[in-house]
Amino acid sequence: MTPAAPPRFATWLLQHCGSGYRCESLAGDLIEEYHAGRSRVWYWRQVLLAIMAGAGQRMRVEPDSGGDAVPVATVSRLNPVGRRWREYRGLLLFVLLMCCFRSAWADWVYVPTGSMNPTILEGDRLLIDKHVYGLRVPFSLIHLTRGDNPHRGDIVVFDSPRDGTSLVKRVIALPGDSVAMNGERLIVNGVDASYAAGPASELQRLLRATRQHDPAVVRESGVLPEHDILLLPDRRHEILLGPVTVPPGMYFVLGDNRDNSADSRYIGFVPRRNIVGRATRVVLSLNPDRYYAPRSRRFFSSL
Amino acid sequence: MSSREHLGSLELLVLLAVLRAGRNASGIPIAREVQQGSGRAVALGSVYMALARLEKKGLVLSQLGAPTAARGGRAKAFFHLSSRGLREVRLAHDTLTRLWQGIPELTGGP
Repeated sequence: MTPAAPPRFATWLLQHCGSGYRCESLAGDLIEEYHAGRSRVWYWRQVLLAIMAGAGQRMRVEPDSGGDAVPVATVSRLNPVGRRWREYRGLLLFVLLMCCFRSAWADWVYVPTGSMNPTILEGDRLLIDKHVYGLRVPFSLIHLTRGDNPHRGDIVVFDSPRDGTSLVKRVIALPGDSVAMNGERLIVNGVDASYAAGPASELQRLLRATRQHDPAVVRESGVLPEHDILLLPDRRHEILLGPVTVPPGMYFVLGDNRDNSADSRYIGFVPRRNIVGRATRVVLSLNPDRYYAPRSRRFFSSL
Repeated sequence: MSSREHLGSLELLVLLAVLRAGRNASGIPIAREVQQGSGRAVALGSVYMALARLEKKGLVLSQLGAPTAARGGRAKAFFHLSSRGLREVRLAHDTLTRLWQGIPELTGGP
């Protein structure tokens, strides 16, 4: 059943960010149709299309040439700054809303390095779910809602606690977990991870520079959901770590490319508030080794 | 006096829809006429933008009705063609008809 009142914010947006031409009448038409049985989705769609149509018209028409689409009685009374503001506010608000959406709800990020090989390749563009771990104030690390907590095996995007750069790694240990590493072997809560040879076919997808290190794909399981990691025999990191207990509110993360990844072994534990989202799938992938030719088989593949 | 205005395809559709809707030519009936005539859904905002361009070109005139509670206290805008608008529609029809004639690919059905 259709609720009694149409979305007030949508109506406000239309009146303040629309083209300025007969906005009241357009809003009235939409309200009338809404009361006649249209849905909220229809209403919102019409409002957004109207704002975009107005912004598109303003971009097509040079305002100073006299080709202004808005009747000009009101606009011509404004000073030049006011006129510019009135002309471009719809577009500016659209861009601002888009930035807020990308900051707090969902985003896609380009991966330039191979620290998550073989799961993520250089040139992949990942879809990041940014609200799964709690909704944040856009452009900040302040959480508005608690959301879910990261799980072992999640591939997360976070701001590095060392220098603030955005990194993507796999969650290995949660707050309170005991974690240790004996060379490449992972031990979580006293349980050794199991290792088996992974599919050699994955080696063909790696970049030439990585293949020169004679890498091996290994399937890791036991302590977190089964996944493939990459080992580079000539760059082996013989690290002896722990066991250490992950402090409350902190996470221990590793790159799947264990011998070429700056992760919790080097930058320390990652605070929960620094984790901004979960990588869910590859949306686009370009191969830097082949002049950025598309790797179409990776398009929309889940991680 | 400017020479003939260039009409876009949506603008021509909207002019015809305003004529077809007659005295009832406000936003929703015009959008319905466009949709029924072209077979494609058209956003109300796009119709209003086309009407804004047509009014600026002097082809369409508008006036406000009385505000009603059903419309959240907002007045309905009614549109009708100016004499220039009517002339432009006739000219567009004549132009298209002339161009249509004598093309073998367009005769004898699909």
